[in-house]
Amino acid sequence: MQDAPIPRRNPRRPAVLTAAGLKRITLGEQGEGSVFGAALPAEAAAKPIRLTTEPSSALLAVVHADRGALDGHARQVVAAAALLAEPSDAVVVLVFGALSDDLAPLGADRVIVSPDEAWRPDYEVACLRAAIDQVQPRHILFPDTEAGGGDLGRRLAAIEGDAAAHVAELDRSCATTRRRGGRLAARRALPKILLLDPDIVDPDLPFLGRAETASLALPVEGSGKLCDLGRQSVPAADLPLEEADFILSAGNGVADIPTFLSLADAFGAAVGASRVAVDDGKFPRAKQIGATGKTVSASVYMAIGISGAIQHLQGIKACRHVIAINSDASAPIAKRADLTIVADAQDVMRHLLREMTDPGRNDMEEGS
Amino acid sequence: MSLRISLLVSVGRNPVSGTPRACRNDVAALEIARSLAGELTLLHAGEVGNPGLADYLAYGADRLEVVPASPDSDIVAALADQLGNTDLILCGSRAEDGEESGMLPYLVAQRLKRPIIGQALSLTIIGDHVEVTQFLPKGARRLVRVALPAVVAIHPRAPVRPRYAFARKRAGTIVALAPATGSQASPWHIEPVTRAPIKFKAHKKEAGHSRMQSAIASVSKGGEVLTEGSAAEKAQAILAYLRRHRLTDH
Amino acid sequence: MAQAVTALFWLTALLLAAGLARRASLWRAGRAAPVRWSGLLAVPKRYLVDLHHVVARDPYIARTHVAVAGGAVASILLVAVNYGLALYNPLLNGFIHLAGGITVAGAFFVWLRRRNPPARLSGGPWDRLPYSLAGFGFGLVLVTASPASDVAFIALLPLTLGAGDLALGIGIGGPMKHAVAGLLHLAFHPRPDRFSGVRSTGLKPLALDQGEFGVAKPVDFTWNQLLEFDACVQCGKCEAACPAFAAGQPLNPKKLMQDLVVGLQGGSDAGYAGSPYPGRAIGEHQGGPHQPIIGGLIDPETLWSCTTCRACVQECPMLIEHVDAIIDLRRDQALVQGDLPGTAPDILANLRETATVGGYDTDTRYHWATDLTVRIAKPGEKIDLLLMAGESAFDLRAQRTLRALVRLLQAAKADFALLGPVETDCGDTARRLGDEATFQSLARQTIATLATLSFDRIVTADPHVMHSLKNEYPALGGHYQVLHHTTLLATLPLPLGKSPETRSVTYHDPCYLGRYNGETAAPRKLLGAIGIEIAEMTRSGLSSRCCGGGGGAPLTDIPGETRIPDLRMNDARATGAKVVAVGCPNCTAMLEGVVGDRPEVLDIAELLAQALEG
Repeated sequence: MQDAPIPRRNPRRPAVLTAAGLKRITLGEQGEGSVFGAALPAEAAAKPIRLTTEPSSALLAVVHADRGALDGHARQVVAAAALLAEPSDAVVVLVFGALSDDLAPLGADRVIVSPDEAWRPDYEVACLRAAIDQVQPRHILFPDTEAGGGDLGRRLAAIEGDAAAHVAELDRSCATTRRRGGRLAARRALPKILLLDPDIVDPDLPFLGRAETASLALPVEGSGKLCDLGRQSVPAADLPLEEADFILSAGNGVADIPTFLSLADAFGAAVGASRVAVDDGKFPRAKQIGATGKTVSASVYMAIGISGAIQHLQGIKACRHVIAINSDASAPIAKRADLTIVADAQDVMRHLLREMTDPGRNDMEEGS
Repeated sequence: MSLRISLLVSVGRNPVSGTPRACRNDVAALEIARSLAGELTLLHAGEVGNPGLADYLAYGADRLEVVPASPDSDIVAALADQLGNTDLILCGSRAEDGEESGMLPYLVAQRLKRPIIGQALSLTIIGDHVEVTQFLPKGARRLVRVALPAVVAIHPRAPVRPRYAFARKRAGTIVALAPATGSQASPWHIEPVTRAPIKFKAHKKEAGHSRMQSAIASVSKGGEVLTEGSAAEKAQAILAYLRRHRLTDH
Repeated sequence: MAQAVTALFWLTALLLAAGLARRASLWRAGRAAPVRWSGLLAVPKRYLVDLHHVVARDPYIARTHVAVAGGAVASILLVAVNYGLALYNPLLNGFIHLAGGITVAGAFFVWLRRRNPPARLSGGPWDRLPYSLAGFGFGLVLVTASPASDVAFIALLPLTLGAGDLALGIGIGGPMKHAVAGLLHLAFHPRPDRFSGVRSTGLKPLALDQGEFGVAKPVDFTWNQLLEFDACVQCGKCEAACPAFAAGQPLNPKKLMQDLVVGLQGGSDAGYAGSPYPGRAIGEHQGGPHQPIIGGLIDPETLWSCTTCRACVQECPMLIEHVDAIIDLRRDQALVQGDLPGTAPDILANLRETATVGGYDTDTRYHWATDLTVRIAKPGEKIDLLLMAGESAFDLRAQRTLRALVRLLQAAKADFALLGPVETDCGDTARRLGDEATFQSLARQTIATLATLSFDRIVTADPHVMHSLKNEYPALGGHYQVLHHTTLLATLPLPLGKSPETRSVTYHDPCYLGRYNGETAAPRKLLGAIGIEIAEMTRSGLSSRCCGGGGGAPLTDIPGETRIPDLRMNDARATGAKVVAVGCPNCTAMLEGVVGDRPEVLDIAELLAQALEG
């Protein structure tokens, strides 16, 4: 039996000399003149389509779209359906809300869109049941969100019966949830309906779905007993700090409080402070962020003049993007921040404010 | 005739010590229920002697009715039997002990064929309707009107300030009702947690190098540090970052 | 003429009796209290010795008061004998003349003081007092000088006015009521132990089963507490000592007492003529004997600003127990209303559910000692000293103090063991916040735990723990010999050398160690033993200024103009010291929280450990 030749690597690989005088091989690079013709890794090959035969059964993923796109959690649920799918299963995705994303990389084979943006849970349940009648899925997956999937999934589960919510671990045979604050694990065989917690699935798939648009005979809108009276956005200043999505936080390095507050206004951001700033009397205790203050989970946390003591970092663990403005380049906040600006806080704040209220003026003033 | 309000309560546990206590979400629901004009009854399915139940009396409940039940009884049926005459059923969104699935409000609503609204932060009763302010992520709120009778599940972060008063504990009463019947085998197998959850991912045939890269690439010891440039340039760098990640509309 | 005086005497006596009866009916509206009528017999000693100790701190007014009060009392007694009983003895007349003269002299000095009074004194009716006293005294002088002359008749006028003011004052609640109320208060003091040379600082338990839940309305106080409020002379020494008042928080112990007087007699606080609660206007509150106090008469922020430091009680010349009144009010707020500000409700929930203030796992309380090869107390093993760490064991900073203490005990080869994971909170925080139910539950739990062990003495680095176990647990059945670590270390054979500390050091007396338990000597002796010369702050020892960490004040967090620990740190900076020695984990935390350039804060145990030889 002759197999393909074993790829051998050139031992004389490109290397660098470190400051200590040691030779360090750069990994991942091939040397010049590879004697044995090692094959290059097939990185750029296109992914195959998973579904190769006509499907005889299906899995259904139900998600809500926000402004045409699916958020990370929703994408994970579609990918989960694709991962659970057998070779004979089609992955059907029912999307509530207008959709402009391509769902093929998530393994979706058929996509049904119900583009209405208003919230009518009875109608959504009726759509869902129509889809289930048509598709006959083995499993129905929802993201377990507070609004959207979590609510709709439970409405269906109350009708259908066999369901698992807050699934924290998933594989092809069983679903596991956590109880008692994470101390107990409860496992069961996969039920028909699954509500998945965020970040339990890796949506990076080695295959594609067919992503065909499908249609569904959507039911006639009935008058539900629930009437949506409209959405309101709560201004960031009125929101509890734990809910705010964009937080501007002041530390000891902020001397110009009025500019800081105007900047927060301009961003529409909530105002927070480090313990030092609160103890100094510049901000009320309710605004304190950190171990003895509030724990926040904003998408953007701008720390201005904050050194980043460990107690403060404890409060911003869950923040997605951290931007720090500090005059000290070696402040501990630099290790946590995604972008650190080493400058005087007052100057940067003024320029930011000017940039946002009167864009272009900065360029004119500073010259090219 | 005054409104009949029922509040479904569960017994929670302190996450550190495991001491039974009133479930925090249900206490928020109690505080909202007390602010409404109407006859309020608390209803619990479980053990009559559970020490965590007295906490609800301390938080302001006058009367707590208990349907004696064991973990495998059919509590939805037992609770629904008691709730036939109620105008408004309030409850928390998720228990602290038990299955913790957040399914009970929906099961009860389905059983009684009543509309249900979850994630309620506050509610106002207007005639035979109730208007509920619902929690939405990113600081948004939604106002919903539903006709009574209805089920409303209260969001855990409802803005209320419950007050625990020892003297009220001794003033309230706990009453046992007819026990729940029926028994269903639980499909759940429970064991202590021994490891972190494993992410559900595709099996990829990767070379060792790329597997190592993906394993170490996620560890970051801090991002960009910008030292050079004028203050104006730095301000623009900040805005560029925000725009790049679609975090701001400016 | 003499008959006129006799008539006047009996008239005023009648007025006095009527007024006293009326006032007493207000006091008797309060709850019953166990008092011993033999207290009346003890009044002279209590007045001349115990009261004198407090009053003598201000020698000017002490001597003035001897003149005024002594002269007035003497003249009243002599008038009672000479004119009341119609003896008309010229010798006694002469003594009355003398007494009257002394009264006038004293009144003159009172008037002198009131020309440029310290800010703590109240005005209003108190500013009239020198004139009434002078009138009374002067009238007597003139009447007894020439009994039958016209001058005497004219003198009847000031005499009548003065005597009337004094006699009526008692009935209608004027300043002179303090004479009667004060004396009766000495007789029926709620803490009679104070007069036996003991520091009576432990709070009294509530009989929760019998529905005792603290004070909501004035009539819920005991009658001798209502009497106590009437004894207040509005001297303001409490106000001058109060750390919350100094920090601009809305608390003034003097106004608090006066508000309670308004409560017991009904009306509004518009007649109050002293410093208000900082940031609060006078005249916007009213109350009555059967109306709830908190909300209408006193704001909740006033109540929760108190740190229970007892500086007010320490300074009060009428021996009023302000802290007891505040705790009684807090008890109703905590047990019946459930209304506490700040993070206090969460802390109390933590205590109820996890028996720790921070909601921690009690198993981890002694993790700071894992590497120290110390014994954990076990049932059946007899030890001399049981070390109780308290809540500070969970705090990284306080753990340094505890480790230093363990090193010292090991160096002294003391027979000690740690209480270990069975330790639960002593209940001090709950009790100071008014949650008596949680305190009693925690106390019973601790007593039961300690009952399983055999030890001679308990030692702790936390004066709050020491105070609870030593002074408050006996009422619930736990009797222990409890020592603060400085008290203990002062008796142990420690191999100490000279301290390597070259910076100037000052010592901050913790309230719960100094004022509450009288221990001011041992820490100083210890610091002296390692060659440290203490640069004492102006307010030190028993008049030490609070750090702001007691009474649950950091939890209720009532805002003021500045912060109490900042004031204390300023006191420390004023001595030029670069190190503040402390003896309490709360003081450590509060003083280290002061922002900016400040002296370093070190516990006595840490300073001693640095000086250990070998």
